[in-house]
Amino acid sequence: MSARKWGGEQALLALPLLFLAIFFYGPLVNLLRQGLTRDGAPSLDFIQAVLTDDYFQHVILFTLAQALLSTLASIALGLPLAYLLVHYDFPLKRVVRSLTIVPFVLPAITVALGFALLFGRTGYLNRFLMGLFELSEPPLPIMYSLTGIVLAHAFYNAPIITRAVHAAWERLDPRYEESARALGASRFYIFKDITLPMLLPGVLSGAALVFIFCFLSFPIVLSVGGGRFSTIEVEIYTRVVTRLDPQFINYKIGAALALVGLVISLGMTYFYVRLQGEFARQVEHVRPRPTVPLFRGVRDLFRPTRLVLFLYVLVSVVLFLGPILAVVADSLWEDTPAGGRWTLRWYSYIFAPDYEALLGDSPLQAIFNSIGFGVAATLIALPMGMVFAYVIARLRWRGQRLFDALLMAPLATSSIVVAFALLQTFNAPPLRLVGTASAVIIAHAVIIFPFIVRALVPVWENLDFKLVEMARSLGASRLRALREIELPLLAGGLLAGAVFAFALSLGEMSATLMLARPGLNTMPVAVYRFLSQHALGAPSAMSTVMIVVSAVAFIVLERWGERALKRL
Amino acid sequence: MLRRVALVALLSGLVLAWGDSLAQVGEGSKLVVYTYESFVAWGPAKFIKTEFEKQHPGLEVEFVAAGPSRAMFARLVNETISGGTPADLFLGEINDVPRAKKFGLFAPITPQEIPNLQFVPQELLLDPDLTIVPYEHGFITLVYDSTKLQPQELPKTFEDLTKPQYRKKLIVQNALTSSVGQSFLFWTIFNYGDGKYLEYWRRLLPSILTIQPGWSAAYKLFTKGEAPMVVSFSTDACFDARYQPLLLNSQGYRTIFGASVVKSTDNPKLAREFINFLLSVAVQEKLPDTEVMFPANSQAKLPERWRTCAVVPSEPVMIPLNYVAEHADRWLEEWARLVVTGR
Amino acid sequence: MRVTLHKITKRFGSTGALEGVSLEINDGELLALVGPSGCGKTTLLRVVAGLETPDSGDILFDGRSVLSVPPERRGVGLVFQNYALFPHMTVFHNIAYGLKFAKNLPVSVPGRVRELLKLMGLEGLEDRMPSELSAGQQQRVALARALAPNPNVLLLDEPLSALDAKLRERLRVEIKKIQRAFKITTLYVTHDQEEALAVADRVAVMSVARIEQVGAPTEIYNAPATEFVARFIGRGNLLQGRVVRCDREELVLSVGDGFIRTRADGSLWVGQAIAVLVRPERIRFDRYADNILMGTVVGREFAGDALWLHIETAAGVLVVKADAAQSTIADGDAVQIGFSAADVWVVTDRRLPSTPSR
Repeated sequence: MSARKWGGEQALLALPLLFLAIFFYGPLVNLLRQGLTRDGAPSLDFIQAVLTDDYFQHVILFTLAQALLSTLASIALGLPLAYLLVHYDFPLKRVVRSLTIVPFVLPAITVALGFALLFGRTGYLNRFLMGLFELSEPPLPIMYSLTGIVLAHAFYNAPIITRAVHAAWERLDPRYEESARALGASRFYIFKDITLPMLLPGVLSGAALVFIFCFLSFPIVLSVGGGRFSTIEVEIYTRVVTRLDPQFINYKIGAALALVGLVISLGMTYFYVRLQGEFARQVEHVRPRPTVPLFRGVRDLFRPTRLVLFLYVLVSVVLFLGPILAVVADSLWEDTPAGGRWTLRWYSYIFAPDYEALLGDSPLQAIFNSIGFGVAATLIALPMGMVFAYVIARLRWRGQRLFDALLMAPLATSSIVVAFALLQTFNAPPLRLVGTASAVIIAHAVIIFPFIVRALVPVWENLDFKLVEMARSLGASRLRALREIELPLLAGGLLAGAVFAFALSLGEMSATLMLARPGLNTMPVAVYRFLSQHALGAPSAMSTVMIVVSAVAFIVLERWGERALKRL
Repeated sequence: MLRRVALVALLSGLVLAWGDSLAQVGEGSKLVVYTYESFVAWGPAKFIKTEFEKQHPGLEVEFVAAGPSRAMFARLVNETISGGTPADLFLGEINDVPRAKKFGLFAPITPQEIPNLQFVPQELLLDPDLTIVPYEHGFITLVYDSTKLQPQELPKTFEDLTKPQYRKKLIVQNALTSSVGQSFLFWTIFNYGDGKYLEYWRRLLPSILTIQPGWSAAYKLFTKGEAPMVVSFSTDACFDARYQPLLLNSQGYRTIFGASVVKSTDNPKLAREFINFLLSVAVQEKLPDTEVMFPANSQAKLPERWRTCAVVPSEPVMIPLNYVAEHADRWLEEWARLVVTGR
Repeated sequence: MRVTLHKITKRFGSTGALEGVSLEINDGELLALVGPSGCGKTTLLRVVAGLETPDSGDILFDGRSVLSVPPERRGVGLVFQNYALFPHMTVFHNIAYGLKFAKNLPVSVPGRVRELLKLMGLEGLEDRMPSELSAGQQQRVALARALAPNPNVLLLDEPLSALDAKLRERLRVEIKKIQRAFKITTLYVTHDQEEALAVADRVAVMSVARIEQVGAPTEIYNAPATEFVARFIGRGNLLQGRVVRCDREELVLSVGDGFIRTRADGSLWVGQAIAVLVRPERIRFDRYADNILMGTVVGREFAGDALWLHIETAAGVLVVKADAAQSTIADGDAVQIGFSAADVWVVTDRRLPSTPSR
């Protein structure tokens, strides 16, 4: 990697910075300053109120605790899968690897639906176990509990750990482990003394990211937690959005809470950015690790280590595939007085172009909207992300990590806060955007942009800058070198970033719900609306469409550019 | 350089413009009605839209129901404060009216403006300024699944409900986002008093399986069989006889839903016509079957079976609105803290 | 500890890395395994270490098969080209790591580590992290770490390849010295034939998946068994020719437009195509030799202690190592060169295409 100083070419940074300043930092500051003023004068009263009040202390501690527990659960579930992918061969391994990204782009509402269908007191799993063991009470009280919240977060985020660790593991020179082995270390000691410490930057950077996501999680805590749990985000939502007092006390307390939360999540983002930097410097080119078949025959069932692996596979199939399959099954099922039957009526319902009062439009239009918003948001966020990724990967100056963390600030801000800040700022002239498609697209672009940066930084880092220098020494201008040398080499990574961004946009709900008006519904919003309807199959059918769309996208992408996908 | 920057800016603008054109709504006169999700999901929204648009050619009625009623109310407030709301009308619950008054959200209405108002009984007209015009009412009670609980197993009082045998048997709504949840909270306050209701809730918490954001979500979990009791309406048996009302302390907490004209509307006259239409017999007679609520218009005929399936509590209760106006903020704050911390 | 490899075959997919390789490393001997990259020498080392399981064949340590013994219990010391020093451990902990698993240590762990630090000249560096060491120091730490638990066999995989030329020369002497001091059976894998010759008691030369020749360095240098070995080891003139006279007195071949005489060899016949090797240092500017060739200087490389000349002759272009004192010879000069018949080594490579004529 070639480290360079500021120069003329960095003027490119101006435009995306302007975009973020107008549509992210400005509105955010506009919202947060409410927490720092009283009667128009600067004041720390509300910050102090938040930090000294028993209740808010409880909320802040719970937010941290559940994020920590969720992160640990994600590691516990994600690490073995990485191990499995690194060391074993099994059917459809490549497909499994590309599908690990799917849970992450699913809307929270679909995950909550899947969890309720699978783990609810009358869910598939409890009913199955009750039938199996002839129980009168559901044996697994997973829904409406901290366990449920943690598991749902693990469902979302374990894949992040898997992907981060898998990437680190594949780059880890097996000769370290072989040296330890030759020195007499057993598998256990090798893992404890060598592998784990060396994977640690990968694990930690994944964990930092997971922690941020769980810290900011909002719909999962509300729906899977069942209303008895409050995190900083839930509190911001209820204070700022739903508990309205003409004196704006709650509003100001909400803003103060948002500020406290932002400080914590920005701190984690800084930590994450630093670790990413460490991690990038560790790159080594190594020969592929040897793999062995996971299942070699029935006798494997009696080997303790394999047995543990199989049990893990079983648990993860239930946890990861279970909610998804529950949604798919539910979308094809219709309860009837006679018991129930398989049906396609939910699909014919969601693909019908008929007006639906609940949506203010047809369900089909929601599908079109989703695709349109996704494409538009990607078109805006992709060039922005490219420029920022370039800056992060190529330029070095004092305090740069801090700058990186600030660039990634949208990552540290929940979509609720992003949307609410936009709502507060752009509901009046000169720029009245609330209720327009632009508002939704801008919110999506702000929300997905840090993920694009994340996907593209390693792409830029892996590109040998000498190629550009060579092109320029041969007479190409900087832009021409970009167009003819860098872009073709980056194409795979760009495509992966674009697909990922598009999928994230498809799954976004909280902000869309807050900013969109009827006729601007997206698929997840439609799911949310259908859920309040009596017909259960429709939200499942719409969710299934989303699951299939993102799964197909990632499988196709894997065929096209496997390496690019791995970096996501 | 400048040229390129301008080019990219232009492109972004084009992308946004294209995005906007995706879902462009036709120009022309439009009436935007903010309401709660069940009014649209189950209620007469579709019928109202069709009929009212028929009466007013060129007019479009747009229902916005992005959540439970209190969440929609909050949205209205937020929009109004930050620069204006597109809403012309608001359909919601009467307990939010004191709050709306503090923000000055709704325009007062005179009885002459709504001819159909003459058929609405006086007991429903709790707001002297008529910033809310009632169109339906009912009673918040518990509702139980008769296939899961036998009559002798039912709790009869609020105290019974805290017994261990009802552990995780009840689904309630969040008082912060749902008007039904708020009414249930007020009902407990009515019975236990300002001083003791928190202590009651502390004992009630173990009986609660989950606190859902709105009535729709809660009722769906209930009908799915997640718990045998839910906070709902005394008329629910009219929807499905399997779900029977359960009157704690022989009471029901009165809930009144009404329509308000948003002050900033460009169409004050049309908005009032809409409310009058809402009170017309044609719409009112739809309410029992769709909203499963009592119509406000006394001229509207109830379906025959409602004589038996709809229960009117012997003791309808309600905390006076001026008292709500004074204390609701504190109650909601105290309640919210209690359910989260359990203390 | 004597190490015996018996008909080892190892295939990765359809490509064979080792095809029936047999090899013997005597107790306390340093055997260098040399060959071009990709010839299978690292695979062979990994088989001895137990990191790869051969498809067939056997490995014996002092006559006992170790095939079923996992690497952590084979008692081998391993040094990789990149050293694979654990980057998160200090020098001390790197060296001590293997002692953690050793049983019946005669001395305490810190004592043993200090012993090795001293032996390797690494005193004072024990608290450094590997990233804070020079390449040479890293190499020594890797060696110390491998030797600490007193392994039966030392396996060095390209131990010096990552170093610059000067350091390489110095360290190979040190490795040899330490190996002598420990009297440890050592397999030394390298692609550098000069290093192999310099360091080894015996050298095994590998081409693709097979061992071509095993022998003392001088034997390998002076008497390569195959054309491959002749080409791979040292600098030399390998000349292709055809036998034109073959009797009890001498053997004469035609090479290009010239003739070369060498000692009689009864196993050859007239008309056979063979290759002969003449080392550059054996060629002199001498009129009185068995073979005299006239030539023109077409290239010269000055190497400080020597002058390498490329001389075009009737038998082709020959490389001659001349005394640096003869640096007056210039390009284009006509010269006469000669070498004795005894210095012409006939490479009897069965794989050479040979057509008996008669």
